[in-house]
Amino acid sequence: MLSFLLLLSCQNNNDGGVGIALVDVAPKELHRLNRVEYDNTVRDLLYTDFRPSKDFPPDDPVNGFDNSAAGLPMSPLLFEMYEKSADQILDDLFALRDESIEQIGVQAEDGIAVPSGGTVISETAWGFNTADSLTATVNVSYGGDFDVSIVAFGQEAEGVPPRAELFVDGVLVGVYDVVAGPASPSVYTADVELMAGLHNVQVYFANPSVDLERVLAIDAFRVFGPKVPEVGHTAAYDKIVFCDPGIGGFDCSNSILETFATRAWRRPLAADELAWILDTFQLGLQDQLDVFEALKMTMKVILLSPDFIYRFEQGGTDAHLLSAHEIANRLSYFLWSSMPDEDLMAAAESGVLLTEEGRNEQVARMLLDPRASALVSNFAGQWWGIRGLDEVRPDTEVYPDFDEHLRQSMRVELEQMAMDHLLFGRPMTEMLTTDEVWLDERLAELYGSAWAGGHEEWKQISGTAYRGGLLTTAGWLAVQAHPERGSPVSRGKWVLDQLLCAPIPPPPPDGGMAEEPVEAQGSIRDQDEALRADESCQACHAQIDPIGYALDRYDGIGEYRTVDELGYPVDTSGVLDNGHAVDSADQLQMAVANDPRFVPCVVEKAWTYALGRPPAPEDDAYIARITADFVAGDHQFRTLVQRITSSPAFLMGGAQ
Amino acid sequence: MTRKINTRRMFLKSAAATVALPFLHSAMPRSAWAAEPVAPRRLLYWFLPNGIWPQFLVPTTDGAAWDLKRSMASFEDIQSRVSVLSKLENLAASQALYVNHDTATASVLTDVPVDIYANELNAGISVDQKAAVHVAGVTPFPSIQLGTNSNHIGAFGNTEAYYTHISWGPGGVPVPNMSSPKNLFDRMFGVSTDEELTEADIARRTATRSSVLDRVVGRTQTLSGRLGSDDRRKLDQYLTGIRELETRISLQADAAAQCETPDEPPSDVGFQANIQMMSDLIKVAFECDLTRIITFMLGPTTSLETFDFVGVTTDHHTLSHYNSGQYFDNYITAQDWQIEQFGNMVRSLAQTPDADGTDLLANTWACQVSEFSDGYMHRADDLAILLAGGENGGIVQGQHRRLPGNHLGNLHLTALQYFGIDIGSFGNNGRDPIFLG
Repeated sequence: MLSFLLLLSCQNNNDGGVGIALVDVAPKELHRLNRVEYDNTVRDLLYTDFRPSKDFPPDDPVNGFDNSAAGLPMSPLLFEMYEKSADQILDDLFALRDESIEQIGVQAEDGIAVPSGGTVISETAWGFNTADSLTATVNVSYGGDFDVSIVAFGQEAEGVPPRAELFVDGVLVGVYDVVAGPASPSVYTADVELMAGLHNVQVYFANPSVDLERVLAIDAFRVFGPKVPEVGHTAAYDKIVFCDPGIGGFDCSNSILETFATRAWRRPLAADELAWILDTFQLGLQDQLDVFEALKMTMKVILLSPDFIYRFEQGGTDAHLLSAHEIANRLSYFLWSSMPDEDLMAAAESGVLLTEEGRNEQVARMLLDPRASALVSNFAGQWWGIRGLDEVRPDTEVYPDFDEHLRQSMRVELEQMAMDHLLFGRPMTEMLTTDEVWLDERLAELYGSAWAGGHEEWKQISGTAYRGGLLTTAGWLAVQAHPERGSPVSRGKWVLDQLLCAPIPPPPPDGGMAEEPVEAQGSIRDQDEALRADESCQACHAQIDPIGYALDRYDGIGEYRTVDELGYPVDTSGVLDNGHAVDSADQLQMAVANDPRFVPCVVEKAWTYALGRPPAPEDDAYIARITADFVAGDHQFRTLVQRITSSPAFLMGGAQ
Repeated sequence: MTRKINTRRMFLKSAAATVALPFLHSAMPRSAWAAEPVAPRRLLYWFLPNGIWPQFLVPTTDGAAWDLKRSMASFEDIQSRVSVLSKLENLAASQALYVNHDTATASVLTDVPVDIYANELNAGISVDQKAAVHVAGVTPFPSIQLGTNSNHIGAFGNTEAYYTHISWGPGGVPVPNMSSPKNLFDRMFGVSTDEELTEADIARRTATRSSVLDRVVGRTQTLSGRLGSDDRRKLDQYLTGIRELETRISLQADAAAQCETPDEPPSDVGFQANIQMMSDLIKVAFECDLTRIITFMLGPTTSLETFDFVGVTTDHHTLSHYNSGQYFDNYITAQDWQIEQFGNMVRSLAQTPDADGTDLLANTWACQVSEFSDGYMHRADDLAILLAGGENGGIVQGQHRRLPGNHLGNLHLTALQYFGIDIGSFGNNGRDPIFLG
């Protein structure tokens, strides 16, 4: 980081320009599509919502992001998954739908549904009086709009009926107050779009009572659909197999394959490549496959070739300008985590993409496209830690208010915020200093704010007490917490790592110690500070702790408080490593936003995500320049993207 | 109308193969054909994250007449088949810049320290992968890596791989775990299908599948020739993947046909059921000689698993950072339960006949390890290792072996020699095999 600061202050003389003059850039490793990129590419290539990667081994992030080329190794297991996925995708594409509508039923007592607790009651139902769930896996033959229902009854307690939450594939699709009694179970139905294949249907008992008197009983699951069956081939099939090879002969089949391969490999094909693909098709016919089977087989070869699985760039022994199509791919995987669309390919074809104006225009267009939400889920999802919300497990004895709805609201708030900054032009610095907050009913309740909106409504409101800025969002605070209390250490370490790019080394061998806070021995802060009083601890904790304690008025799920878990007043005062004294979240966020390390750190994060590698020494001069332009451009993310995508490192391949 | 979903699959076996008899000669890999029935040697690594506190395993006395401590209370019937190896050190972890969860886990089977600040992954090859290279092409799976779905804290996204892998291939490539018993089952016993296919259909499909893989091999080689050496290495990994699948297709049909297919596991199971089902499939994989090498991570390091079913509701990593009080008690409760599962695994191998007339365990080096002893202090020394089985290879079991000054490098070297590899050193420190006779 120091080097960036020096460059900023002493104005680098190297005038290589951010045009396309050839300079040395660090080489980019061959980049395998990560799971999200694979899924999105399949989505855009085959017009399907099928997400094959859910069974793939996870991509382990390197340098903070799972799109780092260095962190995307290949394994035999993964290749097997690719093969299986290609079969599924193509079987689905070529499948002929009939008119049949399926009704699938799973009786609770069958043994097919898997309970997490509870017991059989009323002979045929599964009953719960604790926060447990019943899960079934159903296999639907054709995709479409489905009714997913539960047949349920219950017993109220304290005048409140049991609440059932229905999840399909982990997504909440319905919440029902089950008022029906055992004599007359009722059907509760959600309208859900399902793809062909296996789906996980789960019902969860959301509000058990303390006395365990409230009971939710599930008699059966029902899945009915598709309500409007698609007959014959799908629309996706008609787009991809756009002529009938039975009538059109090889002219037709060859043109289907050329179009498909060009899109799948995301670049024009060389003559020998096309010949090889058409050859594959002919080999299939020689092996006694019919025309459709041979098409399918050739498409499978296309989908399993490294050209599809990896993002190939023409190598070179010297630094060289990338082709317009290679630049199109870098752009689309940066902004959309997916393949280029027709518009972007056309801009590559015409050469417009080789001009800075052309690229800027595409960036502006692409950031307004719905696919740019990939930046929210993947860039902010990892940088801000939004993805970590899935793993948050607050102790429900300490936080009885926490449930899946609140988790979802926390997520939406963070995503809305990320959209404001990444897509809708709100300056990046305001991610810490804004006083506007995204709220729904649940968050308003958690934030102690009056709510005048509807049940499912979201509003952006300013003037919510103690809120505003990333570090006061319930979602961020809950991720940086222990199950039973907030974690000043995680919070402080995260800010240093992710907002100031000043990572702290892990604790030494004899570190990592913790003590259970003891009552009547002073505040938790006092007890923790006593543990880390010695000099070797302070080397790091002097930087970490003041940040964390400035946020200590927010508990483990981000609720505001004035006393700690032991009943002592919370002390938020401290002095940051940059010399600023802070005594509140507001002051902390202002101090971080004004820290000279903050803006370069935002640039470094965006750069690492855009390039799939962290800055190398060769990049320093350009990064300094990009940073200056970013500041001059009112800290707009779009400006940052445009400067990065016109930097030599983005436009050139390095010497290998 | 309500119909039940048929989750059971139709298995495509020829009539002749419906009698389930593991280890008919025809099912044995060619190398195993011999006049006398022989069984292959195997390796099993059972990894517990966040540390195993030794005082709840390590017996008071040395040698044969040792006392079962709390965490091994359920081992009475199999005590003669297990040994406790105490006082070993995860020495490579201590040789890294920091002893932490990631560095200690990344070196637990490699005996090579990692540099977490390097931009490239840099773990050494792990003992299981060293062995797998040696038997590539002999069994359908050179090795199998298993895990659970437990969440973990990790590194704020930096080099997560060190938290989630103990198996590392040549060139520091992490070998991913499978965490779904259903997916493992599908891999072991072939692709799921509800259709009734004739043998001719199957043969045709297999032929097309092979043609596709052939073409992809050709394409990969063409591309490889145009790349620099670093990228070519990546495509070499890709080729390895294709070739392993080709080998499997040719070996698997035979192996699976001679073997009783267990019930298909459901697609979504919790932590507790996952371990049970994985254990069952491990036994079958060995029994059917689908593989000879398996690693199983009961969680990534810094695992956040809760063990609600034994009354432990706080996450495992938090609990690991206490050395007294309620949380510490809870941690030991979870430790007891996990070690009991290893005991169940060992028992199940002991109760299953092997091709040579003894049992699976007698030919299996079954080893339970953790990256730490004391998770509270992140201590990588004073490890209490459990080693079961392998008696047919000369290992004397039922011992407490106190091995101060010794370390995992030597233990892994011993394992490789047991496995039949002519090798004199392993990792950073493995030079002197440990005598286990």
